[in-house]
Amino acid sequence: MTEAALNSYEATSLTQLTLRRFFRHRMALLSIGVLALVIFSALFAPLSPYGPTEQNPSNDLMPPSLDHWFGTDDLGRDVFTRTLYGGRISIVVGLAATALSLLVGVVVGALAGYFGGWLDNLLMRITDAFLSLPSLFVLILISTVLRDMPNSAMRNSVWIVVVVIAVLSWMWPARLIRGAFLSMRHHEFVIAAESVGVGDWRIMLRHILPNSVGLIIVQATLSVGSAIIIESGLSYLGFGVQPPTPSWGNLLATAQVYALRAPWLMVFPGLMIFITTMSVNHIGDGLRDAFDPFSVR
Amino acid sequence: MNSSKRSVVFVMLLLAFVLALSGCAAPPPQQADTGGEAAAASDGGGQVVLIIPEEPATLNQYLAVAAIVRQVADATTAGLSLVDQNGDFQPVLAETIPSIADGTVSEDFLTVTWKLRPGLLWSDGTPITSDDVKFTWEAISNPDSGAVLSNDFEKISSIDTPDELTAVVHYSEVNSAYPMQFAYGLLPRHATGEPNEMEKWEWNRAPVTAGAFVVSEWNSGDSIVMDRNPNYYLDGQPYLDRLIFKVVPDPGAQMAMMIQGEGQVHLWPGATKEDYDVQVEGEGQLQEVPGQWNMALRFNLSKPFDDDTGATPPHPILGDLKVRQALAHAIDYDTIINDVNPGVSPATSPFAYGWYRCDIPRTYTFDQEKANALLEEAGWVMGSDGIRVASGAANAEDGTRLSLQMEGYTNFQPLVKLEEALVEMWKAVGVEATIQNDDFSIIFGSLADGAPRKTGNFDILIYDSSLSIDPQATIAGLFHSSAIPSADNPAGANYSRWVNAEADAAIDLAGSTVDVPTRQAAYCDLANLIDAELPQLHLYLFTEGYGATDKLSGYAVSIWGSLTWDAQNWKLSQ
Repeated sequence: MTEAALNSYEATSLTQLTLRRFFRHRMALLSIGVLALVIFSALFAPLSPYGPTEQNPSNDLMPPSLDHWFGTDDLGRDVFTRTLYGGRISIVVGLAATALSLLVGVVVGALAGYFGGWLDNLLMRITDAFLSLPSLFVLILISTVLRDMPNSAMRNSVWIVVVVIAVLSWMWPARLIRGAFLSMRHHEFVIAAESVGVGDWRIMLRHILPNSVGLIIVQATLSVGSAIIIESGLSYLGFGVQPPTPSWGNLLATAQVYALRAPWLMVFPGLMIFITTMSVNHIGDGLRDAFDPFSVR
Repeated sequence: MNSSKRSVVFVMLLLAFVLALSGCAAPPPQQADTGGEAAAASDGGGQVVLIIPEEPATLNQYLAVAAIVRQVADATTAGLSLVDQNGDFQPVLAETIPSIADGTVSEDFLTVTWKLRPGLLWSDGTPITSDDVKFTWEAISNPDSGAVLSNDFEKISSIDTPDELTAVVHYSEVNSAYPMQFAYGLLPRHATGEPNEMEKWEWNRAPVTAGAFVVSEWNSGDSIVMDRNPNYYLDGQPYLDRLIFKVVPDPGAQMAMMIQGEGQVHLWPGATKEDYDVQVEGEGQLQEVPGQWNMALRFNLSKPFDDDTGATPPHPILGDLKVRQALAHAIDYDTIINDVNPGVSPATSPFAYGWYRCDIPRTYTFDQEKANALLEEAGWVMGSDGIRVASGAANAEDGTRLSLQMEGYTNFQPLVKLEEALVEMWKAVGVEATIQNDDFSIIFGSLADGAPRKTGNFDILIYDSSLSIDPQATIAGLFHSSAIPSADNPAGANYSRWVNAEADAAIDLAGSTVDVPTRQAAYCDLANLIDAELPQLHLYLFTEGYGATDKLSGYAVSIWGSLTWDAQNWKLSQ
C-alpha cells in the first residue's frame, strides 16, 4: 500500500463501524420506520374522533366500514381507536417486561456461568425451581399478596404486570446466558485478560458480555411478542390490564368469544402484535449483525 | 429468495388475507330447532365429556363455596329428595316425601319421619341405613365441621333411628324447608371420618356414593373421571358408562372442543344462544330456559380495609343511601337488557321466580338528572376531570375522590360487558368505577382465604346468585343482621353488612311458618326493604342452560337443578 493510500485511510471507531453495519441492514431500517409508525400511532390515538371507551351497544359487532375502519366490538366501540390505545400499553408491557426479564436473566446467567461452582449450582437450582413452578401457582400467590392492597390503583398498575411477566420469564435468558458465559469463560481472550490482571467484573462486562450481545438481542426479540400475549392471559386471573382499558392482549382475549361471528375483532390486534414483533425481530437482526465482530459488512 | 424478500412476500400475503377476512360476515343464524330432540338414543353405554371452566375444590356439597361444586357433585351424590324441573319435590333415596296427610309430618311440623327405600347400597356395597341420615346431621351441625351449607341442620334437635330404614327428625323450631333437608347428599358414616375433621376427609374428593356415578380418577387441573355406580338405586341406570369432567378455563378452547366434537356438554358457555348455535352448528346447540341466576350489585355498606369485618364504621362513599340511589338512577336498564346482555329478563328483587316470586316495580329508573342531584345533595361535587370529590359528604373527608372498585369473577364475557357498560354509565354522572375481576376461588373463597366479600375489603361486588326451591336459609344468610361474616361466623353471607331490624323480622317470620301466603308476604316486605335501602341492586335474570351435543338425549334443563342433576337419565346416540 502506498504512503498516500495509508494517509488517506480514515480511522473508524467501533461505534461508527457498528452503525455502518446496522444502516446497511435494509429490513432493520424499514422496521425502525414501521415500529416508529406504530408508536406514533399509539401516541396520537387521542386524535381519533372516537374515545377508547365510548360505547354504542346498539351498533355492536359491525364489520369494517368507512365510519369504523376496523369495525366495532361487542359494546359498539370503535376497534381502530381501541387498537391504537391498546398499543400504548402493549408496547410498554412488551418492551419493559422483556427488558426486565433480560436484566434479571443476564445477571443470573452471567454470575452462574462465569463463577461456576456453588454459585452456579445455587443459581441454577433457583432457576429450575422457578421453571418447575406452575405459572398458575405463582400468579395465585402474587394475587393473594396484592389483593389485600387497599390501593387498587397500584394493584392494577401496568408496572405490576411488567414485574409479573418478568417473574415468569427470566429463567430462559438466564440459562442461555449461563451457557454462553460458560463457553466463553475458557476462551483465549478471557485467559489473556486474566493473565494481565483484569478483574472478574471487568472481564464479564467488557469482554464476555459484548460477545453475548447477539444472543441477548435474539432472545429479546423473541420475548417481546410473547410478553404481549402473556399479558392477555393474565387477565384470566384478574391481573393484567382490566377492562375497559384496552390492550392488544385483552382485545384478543375478548375477540375469541366472537371468533366466528366477528373475525375482524381478532385480526387487527393480532396484526398489530405481528407487525410489532416482526419489526422488533428485524431490528434485532440488524443489531445482531451490527454487533457481530465476525461480520464482514 | 433471501430472508428479507421472504418477509415482504409473507406480509403481502397476510395483508391480502386480512382484507379478505374483513369482508367476511358470519352466516345469518339459523332458526334454532325447538326441543333439541336427539337422534334415537342407543340402549346405553358410552361416555360423555363435560367441559367445565374450573375444577371443584371438593365434591362435598356441604363444604362448597363455589357453584361449580354442585354442578359436578350432583352426578355422584344422592340425597333423600330433590326438586325436579317443574319445581316439585321428588323422593330419591326416600320412598316418599313426608307430609301431614300420611302422618309422616306431625301436626306441629316439629317431627318429620323419613322412610328409606329398601335394599339401598353405597357404591362400595355397604347398606345405606337411617344411621347415615343421622350421621349427616351430626356432621353438618358439628361447629368444627367447616360446613358452609348449613341447610337449617341447626334446627334439628335430635334424630331417632327405630329401624334401619326409618329416621325420625325432631326439630326445635319449624323448618319450612324440611323436604330439602337431606337433598344435598347423605354422608356415609363408615367411609368418611370424624365430623370435626370434615374438611380433611378423603371422602371429599373420592366419595363412596349413592349417586349415579363414582369418581374413578381425579387428575388435578385436568379432569375428573366418573364411572357408573353398579349399586345405583334405579335398576338399569345410569345409562352412560362414564362421565369425564374436563377442566378448560379458556372460553375459546371450550368452544373449540364443542365445535370439534371433543366435548358433548358445555357448562356456562357465556354466549347468547344466537352466537353459540352459529359456532357449534352441526354439533349441538345451547339448550336454555328462563333461569334463576340473578345478577346483582352488592354494595359494601361498611368501611373496607379497616381490619374489621363488621358493619361499622360506614363506607366512606357507599355508606350514604343517596349515593347508592344515585348509582341506581344512573343505570340505563333498557340498554343493558336489550343491547349489552340481550336475552336476559329484568329482575328487581331477589324473589324473581318460584312460589315466592315478588314483582316490585323498578324504583330507581334511569334518570341521570336525578342521579346528579342526589350526588350533589350528598356532598359530592363535580371535579375538574369530570369525577366528583367530597365536599361536605356524610362519611368521607373533603377531597375524597368518588372512585369505586367493582369486583366480579373472570372468564365470563357477559359479566365483563355489563361491568364496562356500568363504568361508562356511572362516569356520565361523575362516578369513577374501576373493574377488578378475580378468579372464582378468590371471589367465592372463605374468610380464612381472605376472600373480599368475607373480609369486607371491597366496594362493590357484582355477580349472579340464585335461590333454591325454598329460599329461607339463603335469604337469612344474605340479609339477616346476624349473618355478617366474622371470625365467630365465617359462614355468614350478609356481605353488604346490612343491619335492618324490620328486615330481620320479615326473615324470621318467613322462617317460622310453613304457610305459603304468609311466607310470600314476608318475602315481599323484605324485597321492598331491600329496594328502599339498596344493600343490593338487582339487574336481571340470565337464561340458563348449557351447550349440548345433538347426540345426547334424556336430559332436562332445570333451573332448580344443576348440570348433572339428571345424569342418570342421559343417553348418547352413536
